[in-house]
Amino acid sequence: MGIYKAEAIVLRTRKYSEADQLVTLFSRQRGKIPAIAKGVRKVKSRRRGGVQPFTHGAFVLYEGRSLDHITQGDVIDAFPALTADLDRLAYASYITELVDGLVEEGQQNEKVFLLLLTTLHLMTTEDPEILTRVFEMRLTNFLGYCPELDSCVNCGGELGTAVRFSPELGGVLCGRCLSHDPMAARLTPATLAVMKQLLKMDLRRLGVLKVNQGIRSELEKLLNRYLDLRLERRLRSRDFVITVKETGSFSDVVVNVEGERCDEH
Amino acid sequence: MVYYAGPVAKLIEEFAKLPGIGPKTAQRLAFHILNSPREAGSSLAEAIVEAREKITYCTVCSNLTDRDPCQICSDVKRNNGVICVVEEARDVVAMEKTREFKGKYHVLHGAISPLDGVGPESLKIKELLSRIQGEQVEEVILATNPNIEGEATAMYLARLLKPLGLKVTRIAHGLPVGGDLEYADEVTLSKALEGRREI
Repeated sequence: MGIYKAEAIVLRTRKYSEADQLVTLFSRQRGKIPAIAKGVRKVKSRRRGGVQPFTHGAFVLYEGRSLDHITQGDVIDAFPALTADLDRLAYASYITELVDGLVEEGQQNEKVFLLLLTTLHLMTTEDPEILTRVFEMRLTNFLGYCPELDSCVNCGGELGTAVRFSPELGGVLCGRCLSHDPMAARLTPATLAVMKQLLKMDLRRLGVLKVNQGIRSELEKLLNRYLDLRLERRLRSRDFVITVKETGSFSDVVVNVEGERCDEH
Repeated sequence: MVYYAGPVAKLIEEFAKLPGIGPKTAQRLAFHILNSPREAGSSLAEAIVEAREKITYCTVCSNLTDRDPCQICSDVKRNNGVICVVEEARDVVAMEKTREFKGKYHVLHGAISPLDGVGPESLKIKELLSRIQGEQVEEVILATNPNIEGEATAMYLARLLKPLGLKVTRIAHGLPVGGDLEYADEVTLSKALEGRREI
């Protein structure tokens, strides 16, 4: 109690008062911590750089009455590559908002912390869209919300051929149980296979996974709907991801029709 | 129990709505007004009413102004070809104080903030685009704040403006004048190193 140290990632920040900032940290040791950083918006503040979103840092905090105060912050990695690319920034905002939304305060979860940290690291180089899908699948898995993919979510039976995905029921639906969720969309075998891959593949081999545009948009639609239902609200940064997508081609990752990734660098 | 006469209580209440002013400060301000000459109170009241009534957004640059177009936009000595894009009207003042900049401004009134649901549509971006199409603009300087929201806004604008064949620049990040390397944070220092130039 009193003063404590925490290794954490900054999930979000909000201006508060004249020069203060409210900071939501996601720490390895204590899970989500709502905190306040006093005076960090002043030019002279040394902690200013450490309390920007996405920063991975070692923080020293002391327990306040309602909020904990950040007294020191040492940046471990500020992920400058994320703030230098609009697409990556949009997806990074999205995944941090997702963690903020799905994880409750005081729920310590080191697996989620490491997943977020790894994802932010990979986000600086890998395809941000696929990486975001990996993150969504694994985050729901770690938090106990993972969609059922192996057998019918309603009857538990074999899937057969006419597979559908029901965001409402939380998993795949076989042809016989269609009546339980008539709105459930068709799920192509290829998309189902990719979803399973996302859960178990080695993240270092992410670049090898080729996903074509059709599967990408199918996955995006299914998982967005699935997460909205679990969160009971719509994530605000998703609109930004959509806006960014609309404004133009990916600045450094071009997806061609065959679905192959080619870096322009 | 009633501590103050009605009008005094109302004055204190109104002061307390201002940013950074708590009940105690509000009380002090109210009593200061009541103790000072009558004219001091009425000139404050007039100033507030006048500012609220006369100040509008400039139709060209969206800055706060009492005439349209604003003083800067209608200044013929200024360079029309360079537009400096800033987040707030306050930033125009900050830039003007440098006396370095002789172009024109565009005020966005905010910055893109994905986590707060502030998207490009809530900023004065459309106005900027139509302005660029109408005038002969050679360069757009993106002078949004060097934080995540400001960077996002700058990158978004760059993506929109670059295809129009304009020169799009971003203000430099670096160390404050009179600062001390030892006390600079790592992120700023690495940005300063990245943006170094030959002398």
